[in-house]
Amino acid sequence: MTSEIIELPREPEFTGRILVVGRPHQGKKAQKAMKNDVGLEIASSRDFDDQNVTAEAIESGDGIYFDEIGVAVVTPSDADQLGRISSMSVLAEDADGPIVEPEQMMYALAGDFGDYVRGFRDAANALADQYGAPSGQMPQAADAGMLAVGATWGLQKTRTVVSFPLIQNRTGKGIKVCVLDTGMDLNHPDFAGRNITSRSFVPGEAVQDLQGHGTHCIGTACGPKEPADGTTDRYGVAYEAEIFAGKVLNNGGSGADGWILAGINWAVANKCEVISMSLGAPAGGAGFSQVYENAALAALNAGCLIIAASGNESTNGLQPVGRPANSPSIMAVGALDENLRRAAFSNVTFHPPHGKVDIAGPGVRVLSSIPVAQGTHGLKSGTSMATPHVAGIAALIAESNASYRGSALWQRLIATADAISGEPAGHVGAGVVQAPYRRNVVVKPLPWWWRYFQPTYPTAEAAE
Amino acid sequence: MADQEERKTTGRFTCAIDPSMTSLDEVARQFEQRGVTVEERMEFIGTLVLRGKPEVVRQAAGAIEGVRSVEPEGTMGTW
Repeated sequence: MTSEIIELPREPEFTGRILVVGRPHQGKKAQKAMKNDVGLEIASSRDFDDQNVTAEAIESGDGIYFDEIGVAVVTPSDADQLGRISSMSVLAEDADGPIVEPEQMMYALAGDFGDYVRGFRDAANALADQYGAPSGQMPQAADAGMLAVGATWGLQKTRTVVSFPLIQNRTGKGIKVCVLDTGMDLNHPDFAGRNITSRSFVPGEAVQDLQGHGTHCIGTACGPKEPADGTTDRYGVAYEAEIFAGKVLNNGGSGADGWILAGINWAVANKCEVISMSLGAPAGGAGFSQVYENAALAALNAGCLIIAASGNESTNGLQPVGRPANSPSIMAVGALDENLRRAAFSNVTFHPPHGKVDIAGPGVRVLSSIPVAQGTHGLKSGTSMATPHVAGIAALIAESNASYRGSALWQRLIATADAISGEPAGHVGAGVVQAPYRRNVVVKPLPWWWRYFQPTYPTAEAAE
Repeated sequence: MADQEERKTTGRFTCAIDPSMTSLDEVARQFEQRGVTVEERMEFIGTLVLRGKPEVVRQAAGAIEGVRSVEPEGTMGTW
């Protein structure tokens, strides 16, 4: 017989409390059953304003039930109580009863995870994802400094990649993102094996991107979780989204309205949830195009949100949002620098009939993919770079809830953006776009001996 | 606001229709009857791309029910 020996980073320490993982939203029923069936008086997170449970509240009394996630933290006084907790039907997901685990101390994890610890972290995140609910677990002000490493500054500031105890585990899976641009380097190693649908609307030119702009934008919106070279930071937002690469700008970087509109039509016909357009032209004094507005409305009605760059003409004096981003039904994106200030070039909201900036994203010194012939990875700046950040995050949000489509997706992006202090809304819209991250729940990794766990162990006495 | 340069145009026109009033096929048919070439039909977004003399296109657009807008096709570029 062989046995597997796992070296632990440190000895597990237990609190003497028990985690009971069961069904959420049992509120009063859980409290009542815990009292009548087990003999424990526990509080409910619903008893606290905004379910903001304090550490002191958890420490006091016999325990607490977190209503939104269906987890109770209790202190049984003996093995008999523990046994009765294990068979509580009110919390049970199925006939096997709730999951009961001893609560364990947790420690901040350094960026250099061992595989074993990473496994713990991933398991905890998976449980949090399974049992967690957005309400009651939304980010707090203190989360602002919790940024991750190993990703571009844009992915960090948009909370696409976060560090424990925050979690953001949406990937864009099941969502179709169409990037209409100069095409794509279809041989780029970072996209090997990805599901890519491509088409050129530029007469006489193949999808293959000889310009580089399209490959960069696709990289930001849908690039990989881990670039192929193993050394480049993660730069892609929705790394499991289905990519639609529409070439509507030629290899010189320009394209006709008819090509762009044909690309939009193609994306809508293919039921893409998101269209990213890092392209445009100065609006002039004429206001928005009714043709693009018509197309955007048709797209929204079909559950497709068009996101477009606001334009880069403001370096020598503020300029209005360009077309087609100035269409009311197209989400206009402004660019931010690393300090979350408006990039000097980023166009701004002017009075009607000019369009307004709706939201902002990272747009200065953005690392992403470029054609292999140009170096594989490179930095670019522009509202073009901000736009695919928003598009990728739109895919994450769309993945999180099937009702977030079209106008509802637009509203969700705006509602979850982080306002930027000191920057007028006319310059950055609702603020910097934010991925659907949330605080992790208090779910402890299983101790090494969990497989030997018996309902009678540990009791309060045993823990002593 | 500084003056901005005119967009380059291609000689074609984009046309948006009101789908609640008419169909793309019907509008396309009527444009062609009036001597305007329909180069593209985009069913999902209710849009046509037209080619013809500007005065002919505009006159036709004014006479066809359900045409929401006709604009000269311009060019755009990377931002």
